[in-house]
Amino acid sequence: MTSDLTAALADYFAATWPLDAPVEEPGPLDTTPWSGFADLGLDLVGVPEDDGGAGGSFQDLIALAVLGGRHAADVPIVEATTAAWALATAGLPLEPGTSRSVPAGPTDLDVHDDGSLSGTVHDVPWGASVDVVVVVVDDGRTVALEVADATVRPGLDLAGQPRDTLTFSRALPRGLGHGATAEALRRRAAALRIAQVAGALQAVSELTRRYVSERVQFGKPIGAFQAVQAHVVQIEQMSVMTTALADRLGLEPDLHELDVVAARLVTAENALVAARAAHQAHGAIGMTREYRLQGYTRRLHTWTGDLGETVDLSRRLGATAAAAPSFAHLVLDDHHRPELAS
Amino acid sequence: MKLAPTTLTAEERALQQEVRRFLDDRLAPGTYPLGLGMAGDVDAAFSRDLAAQGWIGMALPTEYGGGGRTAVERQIVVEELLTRGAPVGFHWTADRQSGLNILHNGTEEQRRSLLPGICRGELSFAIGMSEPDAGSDLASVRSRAVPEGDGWRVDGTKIWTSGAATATHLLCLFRTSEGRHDGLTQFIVPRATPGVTVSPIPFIDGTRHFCEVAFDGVLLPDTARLGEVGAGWGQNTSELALERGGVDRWMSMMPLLEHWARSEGVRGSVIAQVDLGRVLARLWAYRGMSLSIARLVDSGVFPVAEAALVKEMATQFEQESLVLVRRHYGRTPSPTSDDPWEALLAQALLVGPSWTLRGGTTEILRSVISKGLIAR
Repeated sequence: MTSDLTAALADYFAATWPLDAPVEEPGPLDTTPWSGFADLGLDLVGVPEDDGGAGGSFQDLIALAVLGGRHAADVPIVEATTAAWALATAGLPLEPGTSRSVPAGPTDLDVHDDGSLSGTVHDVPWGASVDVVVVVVDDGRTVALEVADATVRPGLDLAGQPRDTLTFSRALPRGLGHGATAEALRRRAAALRIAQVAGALQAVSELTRRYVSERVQFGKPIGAFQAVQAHVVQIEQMSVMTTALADRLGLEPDLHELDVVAARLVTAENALVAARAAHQAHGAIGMTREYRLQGYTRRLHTWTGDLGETVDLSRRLGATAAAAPSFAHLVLDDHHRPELAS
Repeated sequence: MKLAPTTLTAEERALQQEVRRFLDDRLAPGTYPLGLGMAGDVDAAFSRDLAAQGWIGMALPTEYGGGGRTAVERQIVVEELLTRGAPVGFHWTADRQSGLNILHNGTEEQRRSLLPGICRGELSFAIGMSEPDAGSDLASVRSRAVPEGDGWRVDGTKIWTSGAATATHLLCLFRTSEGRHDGLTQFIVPRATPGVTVSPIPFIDGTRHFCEVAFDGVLLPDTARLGEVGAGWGQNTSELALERGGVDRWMSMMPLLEHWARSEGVRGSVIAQVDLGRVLARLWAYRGMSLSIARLVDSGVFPVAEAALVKEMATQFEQESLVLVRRHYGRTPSPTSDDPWEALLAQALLVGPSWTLRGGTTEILRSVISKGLIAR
């Protein structure tokens, strides 16, 4: 993204989701700043303009997701942009004025001979209040389903954001086509989730630094105590490291599975380490709904879960390393990446 | 703090392949003593051979015998050396920091007399910073250089100086006046100078690289002074950025991890694979950060806080990964084993605590990082 555009976007986020206000639990999409977000075309970043998108590179999209995480923006940035990309990749139209999401949970959909679908799509962020949910079904086709056709079981994630489960019965899809694989869609969503986590960690680091420099105990700011400094340092490390991972993934839109899985694992660990350290540095105020920290740490816990089960991610990386000719080359060769073990 | 993402260029990847081919031949398995990262064996012949490839002093200008190449290219060479546990001890310090310090702060005469020898792998440097009463609190050094005639007379003691017994030169920080920081000056002392006595201090694993260096009325010409009188503290700080930000801070375990990853034990154990995978992910992440720091150095920046930020966590992770390898070893490794890998693991268990001490302790690094982060 050009630095001008980044600056303009940063201004928009700062005005819409100010960094000095409490983080409220969002309601349905029409009660959030979604319409302004969509009016700017931000739900279509990363899709070429020729395909009905807003243009912008994958790197731009990563930057957008970082901003979203940094401001605890209560709109489905990752989900909407991933849905738009999946539709465009499958050659399906991006109808204006349509809001879209993708599931964070598993899908269990059957395609009938007449082209209708039945089954359940689990844990769709803002699932009940978007127009369309996009999934890749078992036969590899990308499907756009009208939420109006679904039976909704409402739910919330740990941050109080809508995460609804949708059940369809012989629903006719709005669109159906061959596009990205389910795995490619997951990789892209995971890279954007990592970027969102990175943004949240940046905010947590800044919040903690400000708090420990203002809070006075025993006659001095608590940031003067080495034991507190250790928390501040650790949070900044997690923030810098996770941001570096997100930016690194942004360099190549054709994401290597091995890199994305390694980044998911490190990010998931980093997020929890930073969340714990930030609460420790803040003390009681950090445990309240009125203070901003909860808006981030609750999201971090939610998003960490989205990144996958860390023991399984580790096992697949380890199995890959055990079968590879060189462990060191897996660390040092950034262009020759082997297939990830199953 | 922010580290810009980067990957290797095609030319850099070609260099990586070239280094691998050379080392596969020059360091065939079993033909050299395995080392733990920067604590590799001292082998002057190997250092000269490496220099003949143009791979020592790579980032120094060609007019002084250097490679005129980049910090990233140097990192590529170093990564391959440390992966193999190569005998890097003779040239390590000169290549990593002394050469660049002399380039930036030395006189033209010093550059011409010392840098070509460093680049040929003929000169070996050791760092004289700590003293018996000045460790982490380096500004408390008391070894004193006093003007005498046209030169200086030095009295005092340096301690914990790795490699002093085999070094050709010592790069030392001496007190030249009372100012806590501005009273310090760096000097380059040929080890053979009369009055310099090097005494090895047996290390925890029985090796003898760790030294005490006594200076008893040592007479130095003024041409031994590096930089302005009183500029030593600042020069020392810049040098520490070079010393802290490199891949050597997460690669001590690399030969052991490589060997472990190839073992039956890992192939047959899902639990071991879980641990190995975690190590792989984190090392891959640290590697990305080190590469970003090397690009910063190439852009003319000395990223002091960034280097400390990475070293603080990477060195602790070296120790964590040692715990993992040991956990799967199943018995106490023997230092006298016929299996060189078992002996290396035994050595790692003994020397592992030094990884978070050398080059600035974890506690000092936290203080360096937080000074840059917290408004007081």
